[in-house]
Amino acid sequence: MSKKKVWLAAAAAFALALSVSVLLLTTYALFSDSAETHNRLQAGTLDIGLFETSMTGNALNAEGRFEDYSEPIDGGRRDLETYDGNVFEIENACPGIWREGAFAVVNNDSSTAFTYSVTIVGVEAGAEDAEASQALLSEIMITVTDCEEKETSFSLSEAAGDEGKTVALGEMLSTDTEETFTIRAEFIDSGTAQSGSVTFDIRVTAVQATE
Amino acid sequence: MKALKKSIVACGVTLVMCVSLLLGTTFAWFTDSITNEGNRIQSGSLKIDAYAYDLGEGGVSVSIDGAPEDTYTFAADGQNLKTDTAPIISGTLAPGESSAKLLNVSNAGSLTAKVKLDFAIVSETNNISDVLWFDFIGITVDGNTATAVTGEFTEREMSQLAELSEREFELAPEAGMWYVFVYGMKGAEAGNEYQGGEFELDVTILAKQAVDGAEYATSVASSEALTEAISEGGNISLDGDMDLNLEANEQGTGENVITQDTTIDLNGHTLTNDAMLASIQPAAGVSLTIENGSLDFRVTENWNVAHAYISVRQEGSELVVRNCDVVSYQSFAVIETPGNTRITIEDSDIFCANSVAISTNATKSYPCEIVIRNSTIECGVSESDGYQAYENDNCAVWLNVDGRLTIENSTIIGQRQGVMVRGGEANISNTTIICKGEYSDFTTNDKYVNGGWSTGNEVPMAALVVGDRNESFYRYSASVIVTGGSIISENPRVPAIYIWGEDAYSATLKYTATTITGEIKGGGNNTVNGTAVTDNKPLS
Repeated sequence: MSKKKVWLAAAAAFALALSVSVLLLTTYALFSDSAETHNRLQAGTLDIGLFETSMTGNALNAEGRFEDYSEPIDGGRRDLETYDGNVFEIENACPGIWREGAFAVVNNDSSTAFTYSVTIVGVEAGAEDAEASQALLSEIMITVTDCEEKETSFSLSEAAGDEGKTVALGEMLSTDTEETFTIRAEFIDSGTAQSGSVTFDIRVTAVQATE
Repeated sequence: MKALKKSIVACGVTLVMCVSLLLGTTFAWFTDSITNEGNRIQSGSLKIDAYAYDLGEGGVSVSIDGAPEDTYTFAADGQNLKTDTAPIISGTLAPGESSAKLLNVSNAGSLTAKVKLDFAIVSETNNISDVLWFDFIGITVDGNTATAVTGEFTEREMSQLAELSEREFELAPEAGMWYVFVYGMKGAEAGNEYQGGEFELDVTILAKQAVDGAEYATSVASSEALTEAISEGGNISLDGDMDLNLEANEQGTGENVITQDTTIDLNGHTLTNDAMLASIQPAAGVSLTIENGSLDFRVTENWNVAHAYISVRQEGSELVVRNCDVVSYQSFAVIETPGNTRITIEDSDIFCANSVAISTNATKSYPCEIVIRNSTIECGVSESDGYQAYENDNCAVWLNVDGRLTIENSTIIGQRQGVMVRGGEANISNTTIICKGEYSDFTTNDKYVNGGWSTGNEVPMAALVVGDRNESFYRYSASVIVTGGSIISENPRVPAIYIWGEDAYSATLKYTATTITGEIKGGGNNTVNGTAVTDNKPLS
């Protein structure tokens, strides 16, 4: 073989070796092909509204006697999601005083069915006149009535504690628009509860129905 | 193609991985909630202040036409009738003499009140009332000046005092009323036969809320008056310590039946029961409430546990004990047949030196309910005299029929068992249940651990006992839910919880966020938080 041919052969071999080396050091981009489909997954929604539609009961008049009580609500509905005030605000209560709030749970175009419940939570006895306030917890009876007129009653003392007291109200389908329920608070007995005070929160919760 | 296959395989692997991740994850469902915070209820108050003023200087001055004196001037400072129970009228009178007192009653509460003054002649000698007279004149006061006098002065017979008790006044919050009580002895008619005569009069100021259905309390100052008041029912207020004055009979059940709804406000005083073998019971449909004081029931002649001091045994009857300190040497209160009965204990401390403080007691079922809130109930040895009916043998609270037991925010302490639920449903929240484990007969205890139970608290020792193991009695399922609080055995030989269910009558216990100090033992047809307890090996 002539020198040139040898050189060419060597160069080719070198090139080949170089290529091989390069290839060995390189990540292969293999032949490939692909097929693509545009898929879309959009999350549904669970969104409720809560409205107070009435507050009735009784109160003491200037002469200290019971009279009927009805609270005016603008437009017949108060949006509790934006309302800054309290649903129940009772001063100078005495045994026999009661108030009942009516509420509507509204389905804001939820895409899922859901169960809904009301929880009386954050129950606290007033720090001022603590003994009377503590006694008052046992003398305030809460009655929750669902849309099927089923009643659940308990004292505020039973709702004390971190978990509060939850009453299941029912289920709404995605096609349902709203359901109603009531909460009644009644001062049932005197005990040692004069000059006491209690506070509590009302929470309505909706949970996606799993079946 | 090879390359395409490789890509598809790679994508498939990725998809499988994602699905696996999902399968291994807890779902968080969609939720939404709305909260209205800070709802508030403030209770009002019914509170009356009452003062009596002697004749003197510096206070109210009033002229009453026709009265023995042209002008009556009273002292600036008066006697607070709520805190000072000394007589407002004392001393001697001679024929023709007279005196006066100024009374002021004011509404110091936030609720409109109706007020009446109850005058009761307590005693007299020598028929002295025949020659005494009085008048009760209303006045209007501005500062220290009486600006108006109501009515005309008249010397009235003492027998007319009762008419005063029928007058009723209404006081708005912060309003007050003033009265001059003028009294004296007649002149010419008061002969020597009246010398040395004495006359005692009680004046009680009663107030009630000015709403329909409110009732005045009957103030009683003696056991006899209490007995009479109880027979009429209504609201009763004690004006001192006294005994219940019960009747007893040989069988120990007594005949002391409360026939009307009755509320006994102990008013800070102590009510005792010294009658041997006597108990009180509300009649069918009757509610008995005892509140605001002390009950000291220390009969030491021991009864059977069936005979508690207060027996709630008639259809639809109810006992409420509220804000009381109780010492009871017998069982304090028991629910017995026929049913629809209720015992409520609130804001009270009960110490019992017998086998059980609060219980049901029957060998057949009936609907009933025991509710205990914000209270401490303990069975043990009396610290004052060392008395105990059964040595270290007690269970403070038990339910042994198909009824309901609710205990909230309380402490229950026993020496052999703390709480026993042999049937029915119990809901116990934020409560501490303690078994001191001081009952010493572990041979008997082990007998019940290894075999059938007897009656009463003849069951295994534990702080909380659930279920039954008796072929003849208490044939009900038992279901107990405990939330928060603690269940504590103070003896390492005694479990915190013992549970046993029969084949046909299960025993179920669910507890959440509860501190358990001690073992959980049991067997038979039971579950504790969904899992059967099968470890029945005695700790002793």
